[in-house]
Order: sequence, then structure tokens, then C-alpha cells
Amino acid sequence: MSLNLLPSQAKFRAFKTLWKKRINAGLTGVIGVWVISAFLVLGLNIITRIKIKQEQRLYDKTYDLYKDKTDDLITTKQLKYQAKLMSKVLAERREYGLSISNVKKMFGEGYSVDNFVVKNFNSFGVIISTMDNKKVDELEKKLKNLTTNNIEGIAGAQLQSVSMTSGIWTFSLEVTTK
Amino acid sequence: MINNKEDLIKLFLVPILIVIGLIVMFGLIINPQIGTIKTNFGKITELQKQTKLIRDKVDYLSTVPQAEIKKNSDLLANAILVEKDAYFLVNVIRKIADRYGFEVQSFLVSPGKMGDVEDKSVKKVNGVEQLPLNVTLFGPRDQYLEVIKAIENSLPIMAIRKFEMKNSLANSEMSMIIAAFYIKDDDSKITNLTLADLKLNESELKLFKTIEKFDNNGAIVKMAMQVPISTNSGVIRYGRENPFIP
Repeated sequence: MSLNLLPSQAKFRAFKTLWKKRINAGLTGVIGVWVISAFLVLGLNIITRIKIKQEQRLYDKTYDLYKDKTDDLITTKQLKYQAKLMSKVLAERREYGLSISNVKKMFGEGYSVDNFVVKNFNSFGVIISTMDNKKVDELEKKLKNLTTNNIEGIAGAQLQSVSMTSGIWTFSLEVTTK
Repeated sequence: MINNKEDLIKLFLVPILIVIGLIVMFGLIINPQIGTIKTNFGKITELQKQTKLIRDKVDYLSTVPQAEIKKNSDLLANAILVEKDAYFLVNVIRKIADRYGFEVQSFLVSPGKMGDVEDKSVKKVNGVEQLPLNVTLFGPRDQYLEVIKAIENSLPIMAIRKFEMKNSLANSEMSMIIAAFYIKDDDSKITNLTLADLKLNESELKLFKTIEKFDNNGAIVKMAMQVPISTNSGVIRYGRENPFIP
């Protein structure tokens, strides 16, 4: 009986030794990884804490500089705020003086340009008169020029009415501004 | 057999317990540290971001000559009404009219109420209030355009909202509604400012170049400033003297 048992005992021992080796190797690996990761994590933790302190110092230093410039900051901020709003106001504003001046320039000698009316933001009415019959023929061309010549402050012009009294031709125009 | 079984249990149980122990320790010790590290990185990024924001503002404030800021600030102070000071506005209009031989025939002020003056096609700028002035000017017909140009190129910045004129042979009567502007207080906090809240952009820089060319009516402002009246907000209010006294 004892003779039959010996090989199985030996088999078991061999099995045990093999697994012990495997387990030891595995455990060494697992513990090694665990220890390395523990060191890494702790190390990183310490490094980030140091970095936070450094960044905080840098922030405080910069903030002190910033505080020293409070007066400049308030003036600059106020200036920017007002400039932002007023540049919008100016961009929205129509300069009728410039537009009328350009209409006058476009018609030139022989025409009387006046009696203008601003009723809407985007346009104004103007009365043009002339006593010269030849100038009447030029009017259509002048109107076309007002629309196509890309004149500052003027987007276009439209003839509203024409009348003639005692040899004076009177044209009513609506000029669209830009 | 029993011995073999016990040996097998010992062989596997101990390493299993060790691995379980390691997992538990990982969960209890290392995992919270990973969370802390993540938080620390977040703090570092936030601090760097905040420092950069402040640094940019400090750098900008250091590079912009404060003398220029002051000059532009003074220029803008003349371009905007400090308050709803309609008398000051009438005074400016009267001075302009005087220059071209016109006289103020009548005026009507209704501070803060644009009413039927308000044109829906005029885009309202948030934060800017308009002060409308209804005024009738009478003077030489050949100078009307100069008056209009002067109104449009004078400080404080004004905009013609309505206009009508009646011409006789030599004279013109111009009825206008002119709006000047004043700005409501800026209540944004200094701590929340970004560089964009300080840096002037192209259109704003253009504004200064434009209004530099305007007639700043310095004499009128100076005259008005001789009677400074302090307001609650600490600003100087122009004195309300009679605008019709030459």
C-alpha cells in the first residue's frame, strides 16, 4: 500500500512546489506593482501640493501688482465702457449735413438745393429748383449718379414730384442715407 | 488526503487573502489619493488661469500710456452729457447758432422722454440714454448747412432726429429735434473684469480719432465748470445758468 501512495505524494508535492513558485512570482509582481503605484501616487500628491503653493505665491504676487494699478484700472475700464457705447451711438448716427453737402455738390451750379426735411432716420426730403430748362434734362442723370456713384452718406435718391411755376422748376427728392 | 486538502487551502488561501488585502488597501489609501491629485491638478490649472488673466490685465495696463488714457477720458467726458443737463445742451446749440448768425427762437426740453421723437428705426444702444431737445433756429439762409454740420461735429455728440425748414428769401427757420446722450453708470465689478473689458477695439479707437476732430466747445464746458455742483455720485454737474445770456 505504502508503495502505491508514494508516487501520488510525490506528484502532489511537485504540484504544490510548482504552484507555490507561480503564486510567489504572481504575488511578488502584484505587491511590486502595488508598492510602485503607491509611491507614484504619494509622490504625485506631494509634487502637486508643492506646485499649488508655487502657483498660489505667483498668483498673490501678480494680484499685488494688479492691486497697485487699481486707479489705472478703474479709469481704463470706465473709458472702455463709455467708448464701447459711444462708438455704437456714433455708428448708428446719420450725418445729414454731410449727405446734404454731397447732394449739393452733385447738383452744382444752376441748381438751388434747400428746404430739406428729416422725417425718418434713413432718409430725408430735399427740394431742388432751377430756372434753366437745360438743367431739367440733366436731372435724371444726376439722380442716377446719386444712386450709383457711391457717394459718402448717400445710398440712393428718388424723384417724388416735379412742378413748374413762373419759369421755376421745382423737384422734390427723397434721399436715402447710409 | 486530509493533509493534502489542508495544504491546498493554505497554498491558495494566503495569497488570495493578500490580494484581497491589497485591493482593500488600494481602495482605502491609494484611491482617495488619486482623487486628491485630480483636485490638485484642477486647482493648479485654475490658479494658472487666474494668474494669466490678471497678468494680461497688468501687462496691458503697463503698456498703455496712462497719459493717453487720461487724454481720451477727458475727450470722452466732453462727448457725453454727465446728466440730463438740457440747459447745457441748449447753451451749446446757442453758441453754435451764434457762430453762424442764427438765433434760438424757441426750445423745449423733456428730459428722459423721447415720446413721439423716438424713431423705431433708430437702434437703441443699451446703457445709453437720450436727451431730446426741440429747438427752432432762425438765421441767414446761406448758412443753414454750416449750422447743421456744426451741430453734427460738436461735442457733446448730438444726433439730428427730426428736421424741417422754412425758407424766405434771405432767411431760414429750422425746427429740429436734436438728441444728446448720457450714459448710465457701469455697475460691473472690477474683480470680474477680463482683458476684453479694458482693451479698446478698432471701432472704439476710431471713435477717439473722430471726436478729436469735433469742436469740443471747451469754452462752454469751462464756463459751466466754473460753477461746479457736486452730486451724490461724485461727478461734477454743469451749472445751470441761463443759456440765453450771451
